[in-house]
Amino acid sequence: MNKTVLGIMAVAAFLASSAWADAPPEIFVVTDYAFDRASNPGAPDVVNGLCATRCNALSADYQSYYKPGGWRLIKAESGKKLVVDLDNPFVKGTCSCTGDVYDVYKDIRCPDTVNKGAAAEKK
Amino acid sequence: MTNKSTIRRVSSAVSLVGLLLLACMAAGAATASGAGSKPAMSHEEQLRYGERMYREGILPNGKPMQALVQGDVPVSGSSFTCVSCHLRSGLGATEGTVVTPPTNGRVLFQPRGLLQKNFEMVPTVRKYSLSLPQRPAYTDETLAECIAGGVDPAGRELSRTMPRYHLNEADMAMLIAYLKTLSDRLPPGVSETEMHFATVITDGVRPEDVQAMLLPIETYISKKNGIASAFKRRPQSMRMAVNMMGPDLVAMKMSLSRWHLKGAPDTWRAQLEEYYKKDPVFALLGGIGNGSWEPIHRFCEDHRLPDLFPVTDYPVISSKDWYTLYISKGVFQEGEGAARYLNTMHELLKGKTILQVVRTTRRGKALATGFLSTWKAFGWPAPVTVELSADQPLTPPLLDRLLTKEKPAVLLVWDDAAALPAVAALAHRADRPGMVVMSAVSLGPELRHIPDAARSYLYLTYPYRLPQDDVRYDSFIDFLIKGKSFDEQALRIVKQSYALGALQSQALMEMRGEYYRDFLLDTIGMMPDMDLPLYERLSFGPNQRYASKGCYIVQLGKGDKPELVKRSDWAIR
Repeated sequence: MNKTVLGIMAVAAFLASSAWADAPPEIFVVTDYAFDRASNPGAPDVVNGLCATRCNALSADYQSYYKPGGWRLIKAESGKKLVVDLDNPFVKGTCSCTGDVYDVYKDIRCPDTVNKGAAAEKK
Repeated sequence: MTNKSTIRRVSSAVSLVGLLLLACMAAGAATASGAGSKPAMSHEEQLRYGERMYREGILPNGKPMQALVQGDVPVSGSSFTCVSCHLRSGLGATEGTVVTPPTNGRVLFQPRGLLQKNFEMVPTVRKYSLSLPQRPAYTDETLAECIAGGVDPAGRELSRTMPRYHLNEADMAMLIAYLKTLSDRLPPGVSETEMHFATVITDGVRPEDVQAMLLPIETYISKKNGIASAFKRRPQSMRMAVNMMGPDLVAMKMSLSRWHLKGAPDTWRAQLEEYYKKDPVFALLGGIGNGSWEPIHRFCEDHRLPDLFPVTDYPVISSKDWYTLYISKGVFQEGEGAARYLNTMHELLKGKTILQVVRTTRRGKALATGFLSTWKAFGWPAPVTVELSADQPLTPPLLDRLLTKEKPAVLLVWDDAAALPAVAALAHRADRPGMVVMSAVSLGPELRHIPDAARSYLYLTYPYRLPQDDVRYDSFIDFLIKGKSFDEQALRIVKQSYALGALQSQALMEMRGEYYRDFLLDTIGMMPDMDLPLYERLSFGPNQRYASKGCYIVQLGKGDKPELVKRSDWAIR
């Protein structure tokens, strides 16, 4: 193998490894939810369900990464807790959304399937 | 398994059932003393009653069939119908590890060997065949014994989950006569060498949308025919294709006719009849129309003709019809999604007014109907509804007056983008509704230009996967759209039609060489969820006719290039 080929391979490997070198996109996959009762002690019970909806809406659907193929999800953090406003016009309060954080990498084994998606993800 | 004691027990059971049958028959004869004076039943009538027993578990006398399961547990035949396990085609089912054998006469009256002839090396069929025991051919007598006593002609006792039905001789004869008609001869449009389809295109659809619908279907057919040609030339090189499709399907060519419907919808039926008479087909694939799909839907019901994934915003909403499979409930589904979302906060809305402003176009009415029927099914009172005729604009003053009068907590605006200025003007109103709900699809390209001020209170129904997520599925259709240009609407149609290709090719491969219309639909009903572009998981449960069942509620994010932000999960119930 001559030096030129080795050089091209080295550059290609560098480009591949540094594609997301800055900060890979992250997704949050929710595993639990709870209404923060202290945020509105008088809130009716329905707020628990509203927090389920609120937290699920924050969650990425991991299947939408696995099913099309071309993506790898590597767990970056387990049990991360996000406190978010319930954001409902009829009742105030906050929700605690617990979930796992994954770094999203394009799978270089099947580059044709991911380029467009990867670009969109980076935006 | 078939040791002597088992055989003795089975024989005793059969004798007992036989005695019961005789008793039933005697009782039937006694109670029907007047029946002797009834005219003899026609063959068609007998088949109708047989069908009712098979599908609904109802006897000709209108009473439920009686049966025993698990040895001695009495059950009503209407709860344990034949069709629920053996399916409409009678060609059996596979669900997880449970394999239900065919129960149609053509298969029953032939001996079952170890493997299905010609499919010995096709893994899926091989696995299915090996799950079923060998047996001699049934006769009318042994079949009656099996239905009543649960013993096959080899003397083997059937699974105890198979009900043992108490039927008198006449009813048993009717049921067996019906079983003999199930999937007994190839339907029109199928021969040993060809499977013929048609697609329906109605007047007034944009040509680019027609092309978008046709592209995946014609590509699929062209690829399939390429495989058939290659198989004909060099069969030895196509072993993998043979293993996947079976030796018959791999060699089969496919063709697609285009049935153009012109003029008013009330003339379509006659046009369809004419097309079908001249050009019989196995099924309709795709199709596209701007208005209601009802005339085509009805035609397919009447001719027992499958119609897969027509591109229509206005499918027929029915829980009973069988032959048309829709990709979703169309516009109706957005109204349904809004009702499901509001239902999650029904406690907060008790005693408050929901105002529904409905443009009386087909779209506006479908949205309102979807909302109303679902909302009422939850048990909530109907919203206050104000209808706007097609030419009456929803102006800010008009909306102001309506709000002053009704003071709604939630405002539903089932209108197009022309209503956005009035909705945006609510930003300045102190007592505006907490939520305004509109259909994202109805806003069209204006969706991305919702005024900033309205984005905090405007909620939108969105019946597709969000664009920022769906982009990962683009690779599925790249081979179709490469080098071609599609606008947003046409691209959506390509994706819908692509789903049809995926569904159809998978279903045909799973049909074990049994190309019957009902079995095509039965097979699709057994397929696992599909993850494809545009929609979150597509699936059909038994008797379900809409593959995508969900809808997001979203809001538009901030900025010049806003994304859609989920406010709900993929609400399906």
